[in-house]
Amino acid sequence: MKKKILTSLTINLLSGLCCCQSISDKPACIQLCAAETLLTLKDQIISKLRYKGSAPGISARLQQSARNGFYFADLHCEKGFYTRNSYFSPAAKRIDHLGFRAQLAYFQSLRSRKAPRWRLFVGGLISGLMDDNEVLRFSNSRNITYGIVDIAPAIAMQRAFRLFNRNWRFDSSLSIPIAAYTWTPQYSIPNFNDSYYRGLQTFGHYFRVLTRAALHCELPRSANGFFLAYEWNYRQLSVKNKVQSAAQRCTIGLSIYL
Amino acid sequence: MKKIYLYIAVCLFLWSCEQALIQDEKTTDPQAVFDDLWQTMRDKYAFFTYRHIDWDALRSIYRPQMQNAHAGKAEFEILCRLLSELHDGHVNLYSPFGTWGWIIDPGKAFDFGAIDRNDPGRGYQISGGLMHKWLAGDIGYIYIHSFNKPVDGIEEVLQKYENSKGLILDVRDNGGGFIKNAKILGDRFAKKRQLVLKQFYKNGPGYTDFTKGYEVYTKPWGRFYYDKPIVLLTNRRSYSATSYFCVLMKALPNVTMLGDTTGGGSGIPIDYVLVNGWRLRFPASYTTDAEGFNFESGVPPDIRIESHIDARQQGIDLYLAEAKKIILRR
Repeated sequence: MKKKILTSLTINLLSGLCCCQSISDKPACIQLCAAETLLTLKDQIISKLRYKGSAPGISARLQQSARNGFYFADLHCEKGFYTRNSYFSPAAKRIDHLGFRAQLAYFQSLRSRKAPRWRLFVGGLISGLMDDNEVLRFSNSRNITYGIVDIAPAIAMQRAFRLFNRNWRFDSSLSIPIAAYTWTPQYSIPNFNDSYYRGLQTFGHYFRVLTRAALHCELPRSANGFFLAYEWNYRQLSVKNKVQSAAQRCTIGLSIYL
Repeated sequence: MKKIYLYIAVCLFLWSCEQALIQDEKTTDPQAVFDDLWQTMRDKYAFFTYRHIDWDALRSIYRPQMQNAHAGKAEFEILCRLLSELHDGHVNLYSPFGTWGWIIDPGKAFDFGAIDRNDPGRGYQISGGLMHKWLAGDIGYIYIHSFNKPVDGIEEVLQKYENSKGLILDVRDNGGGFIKNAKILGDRFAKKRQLVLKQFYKNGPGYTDFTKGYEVYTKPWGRFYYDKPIVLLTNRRSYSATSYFCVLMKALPNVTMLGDTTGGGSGIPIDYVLVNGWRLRFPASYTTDAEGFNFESGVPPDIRIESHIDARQQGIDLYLAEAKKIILRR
């Protein structure tokens, strides 16, 4: 387990460093937030049954304005569980969940008019994730770990407006990966002797949709503010065993301009 | 602006279609449950070829019985009958009506009390899941009841018996547990790194779809190497991780395996939750020793001793007596 966590933290750190290097000397913004994620999972190495659960977590995002767009690096980690039917199921029937996410993105503005109502962006993001699901009822096959790094074109939009004498901003983004490199459990025994199936996947074997909407509010006499975000992430992997998972994440956080 | 409305509509559609994308296949329909169990076994069970099982033929026998079965106990009985055709101690079905499993040679259990009757007056000590005591003739005796618990106590135990004339490791009636624990314990007696096992995992739905053999080597650890003779006592109820332990120990130069062939169980069992919530457990791999011998049906001893009921009734442990002779002879 320590090895897996270290691997994930290394991926997260590297993507953070990559982002820092790519950022110019322009003002940057750090977002620190708490998140609650509602999880859905159907992993056919476990069952054909659908499991639901929740996972509180924390996130951090470093965002930097560029000449005509913006960059960001995003880290998220969460710890929770899946269960059947009721969140009050006996502990032994649960699936403990540990997840790490890292994203590195760049968006370029499509319009250059001075003050458009809506700003549209196109860009791309590289995201890495590691999920460890521990089925407490199982013995040898109880730890099921996935690692995925994917690259996705993305679109985003922003709209700034004033309400209640404050500056507000709504932004939203959508991305669908075109290719992914995956570490998945073997066909029968997951991760035994640390043996994973590794390979490059494209459509047909890997599909993911990530959408995010956020509402930002600036504090009086300051560019800093707080924000509320909602994210929906659906992932389907059909490499050795079909795995479908979805996550609805609500995030609340602070934006601090450096 | 139209593009933005379209974008928002797409997002709303995606958010709302999660339930439809990830459908729950829960059902209590006996035939659907049978199909889920049968198909999962067909794709992932490791020993159809080894045991000469015609799984398709068994389906045609048992599935029609499900048509008239009510969900519940009758359904459980039919599934148990199907699974019992495999004669595999690693196959289990867990339901609200109980747990089903195949028992190997139930009549050949050993009498733990006979150890004390043969060598009275010195109590046992328990160290990290290991029961141990001195036997007459300066011989150390260690009983390993299960590999479910960590066996880290072996270091402390070996220090106690460092100056003994030899050790008797008793794994009779040890039904197994975590392979990791068996490996840690076996590694403690190894002198050097050597190939001891090869593991083959199912990697496709075909009966003979297996990975290449993953090689398992001993990894010596501990403060000192115990170089005195070791006798390993086994019986038919030494199963699963215990067979794994026996293969590992048998490869070591100072170890003599004595008793009966172990119960086998070379496959690593995995779990699966059926569509009605019951849990199925079955082996999805097999393991061989370094020479390629698949010990699914048991690990043969170096010296075979039959367990005599008469002797047991008289409180005589023939295995133990022979083990002592071997150690003292050396």
